[in-house]
Amino acid sequence: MAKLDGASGNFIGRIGNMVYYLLNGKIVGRTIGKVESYSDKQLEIQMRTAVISPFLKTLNDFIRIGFKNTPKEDPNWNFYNIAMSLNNPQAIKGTYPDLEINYEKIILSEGAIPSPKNPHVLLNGNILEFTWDPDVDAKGADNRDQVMLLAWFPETEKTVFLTSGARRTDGKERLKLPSFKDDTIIETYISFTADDRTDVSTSVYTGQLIWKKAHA
Amino acid sequence: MAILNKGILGGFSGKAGPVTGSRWRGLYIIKSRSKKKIKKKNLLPQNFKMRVMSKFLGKFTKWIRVGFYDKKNKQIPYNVAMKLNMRHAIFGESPNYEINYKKIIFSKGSREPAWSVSAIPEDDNQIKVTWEIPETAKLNQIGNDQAIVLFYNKLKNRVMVSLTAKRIDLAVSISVPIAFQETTLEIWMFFVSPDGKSVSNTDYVGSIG
Repeated sequence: MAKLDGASGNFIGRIGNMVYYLLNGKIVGRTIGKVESYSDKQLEIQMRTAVISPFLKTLNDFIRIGFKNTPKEDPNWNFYNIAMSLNNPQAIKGTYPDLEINYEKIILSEGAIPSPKNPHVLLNGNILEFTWDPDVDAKGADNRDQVMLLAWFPETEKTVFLTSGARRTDGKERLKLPSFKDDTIIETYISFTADDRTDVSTSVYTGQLIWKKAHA
Repeated sequence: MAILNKGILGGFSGKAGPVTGSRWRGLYIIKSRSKKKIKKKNLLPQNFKMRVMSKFLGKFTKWIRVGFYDKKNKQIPYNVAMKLNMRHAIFGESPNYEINYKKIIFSKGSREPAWSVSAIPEDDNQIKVTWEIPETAKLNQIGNDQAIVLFYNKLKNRVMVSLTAKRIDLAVSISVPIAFQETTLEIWMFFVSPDGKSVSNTDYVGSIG
């Protein structure tokens, strides 16, 4: 993407296969080069993106709310850029080429509201039962804050989430999952959103659950 | 001999020396003449893979156009489908490649996918395909989505499709024609929005028979 330099009317950057840049005080253009091979470190960065983007992409509708009002490093960023910058590479474990997502460190919302206190989750049949302490006295907490719940199924790359659940004072909320045929791993997250949707809390990882066939 | 269909202003059609002119997706294009055919002993593993995959995917062209619809993408839907399926849905050693039906995709998109899909054979040569909608889904937006259920008969390399159900129906029964009986049927499904602009990912329902 080339940028127009307003003062002189020059382009800086890439248009098509041409790159324009400043060289010894002059704007020069050349055709873009071709990368013949990548080093292992470059491949590692490419693989990081490949590992995390199917996850974040599926959660688009959730992180759109989660990072709506989060401060950005760059004014041109959108919610997805913030999510990527918070989770890549912080939430990736292992050494190349065995990279995988570290679900404990994933952040799906960030804001000034206090996060859920002592969150727990239980799997009861096909229902995820989330509980938390209704700490309305914490600074910034409001008793009309609503809970946001998310369940992620890494094997099928699908998700079920709720962006406006019970109030903070209720201390519990349930998330009904579809039925499963085989054993399924479930990663769960919890967060709060303000009643007027202007702020969120930072999300908390509530752990991995495994749905077993014997349950049904 | 090439023919100028629109006089000097238009493209040309046919062979002219080393090039061939034709029309492709509304554009006048020039291609160089095709190379000599490769001898069978010189074929690469990729050629064998391609043969297996295109024999299979070619039957689904019409539905791939729905599943990979993208106005902005210059690549045609079939080529996108070919690229993704060649990467993930093929196994075996050269020259005997086989298709991994569980990994085949006919669509890729961000719409709510089908959950907990299953296919049950019923009486009178009927197959019932069922799916679920999670409680948290926005039913008003996605309830009217068209369910596209695809059946593939490996033995005869034939395809059957069911378009009768909406997402909100949660199930569809299909009566199986004689040509599809007593063989193994592979089944997939995906959803497409009423305007056709948004699709879900493909789910492998299972095989029957």
